[in-house]
Amino acid sequence: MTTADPDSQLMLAFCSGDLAAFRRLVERNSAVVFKLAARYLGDESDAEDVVQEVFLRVHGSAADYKPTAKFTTWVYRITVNVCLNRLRAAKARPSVSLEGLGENPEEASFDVASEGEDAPFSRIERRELEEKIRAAIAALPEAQRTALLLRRFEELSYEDIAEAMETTVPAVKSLISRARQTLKACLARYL
Amino acid sequence: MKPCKDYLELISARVDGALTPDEARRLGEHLASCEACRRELAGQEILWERMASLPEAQVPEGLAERTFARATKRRHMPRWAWGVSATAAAAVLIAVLVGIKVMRTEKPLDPETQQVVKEIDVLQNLDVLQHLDTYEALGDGVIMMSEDASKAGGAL
Repeated sequence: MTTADPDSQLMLAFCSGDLAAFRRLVERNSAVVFKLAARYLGDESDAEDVVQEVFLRVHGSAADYKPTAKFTTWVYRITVNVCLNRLRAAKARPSVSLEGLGENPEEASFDVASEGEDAPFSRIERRELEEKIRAAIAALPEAQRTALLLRRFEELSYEDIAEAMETTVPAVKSLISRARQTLKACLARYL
Repeated sequence: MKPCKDYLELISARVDGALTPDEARRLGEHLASCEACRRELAGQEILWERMASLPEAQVPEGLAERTFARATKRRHMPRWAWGVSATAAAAVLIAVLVGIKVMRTEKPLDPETQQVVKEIDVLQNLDVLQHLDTYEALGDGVIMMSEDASKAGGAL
């Protein structure tokens, strides 16, 4: 029970009919949901729709809400589910090719050494690297991607990630480790 | 000594700062003697830093306001409130039906009315009523024939 969590308290107030509490919840959490959705989908254009769907679900869940986990953990779970539904519905698990992400050094489009020690990446190269990282993350299996994003960008503990993904802590450790292995292999030439 | 692949999760957990003291000791002992795993750890740390450098998505202006408006526009009251209303309506309906039943049970019909109801029931169950017109027509025919026969007999 996490009633000390201010968001859980707001949710409980909303369950009792306090609409202002719901407004406050949206104000406090919509940006976080937006950022997670944008990272998860790899695209900001659909992220706002995800935010709205997430809070529609929160609004509609008032009757069943029990503060057994942190509110944000619960909302992350909903967010991930909404994102996955969208990706599946669109068959849009991004058809990212891993080609050129590290397997073939000859295809490297820039040479770190040529930039000098103080400025290893030009702006264009940095942008390219960002795209490579995004593509590699998008190509991860769903569970690995979810665990990795929640750890890296939301800085959730293994316990909270396990709660959000409805799995165990050892499973989360394994997922994150495997995700790192895959990314490292794909991006080896940039590391 | 365990193979290096058995240390990968510990290396990952170390990047996350999530090792227990015992795990930290075991990994430390292994790293001290394994160049490959030291490189693996260094690579994972750089990867983690590179990921952190990804720019954050720009949150659009007015996102919270639009989200709140949409969530509350679709249903002015939460789903649970609709549930309560529906339950209340169902309860009223059940109360009315039960009331009618109780009234029927508590206030039996007087004997005369009961008799009328019984007769109606009997009549409703008589197939003969469905063919009453036919029987009447047949009856008229029989009467006419007998009258004719009487007339004819009389003439004979």
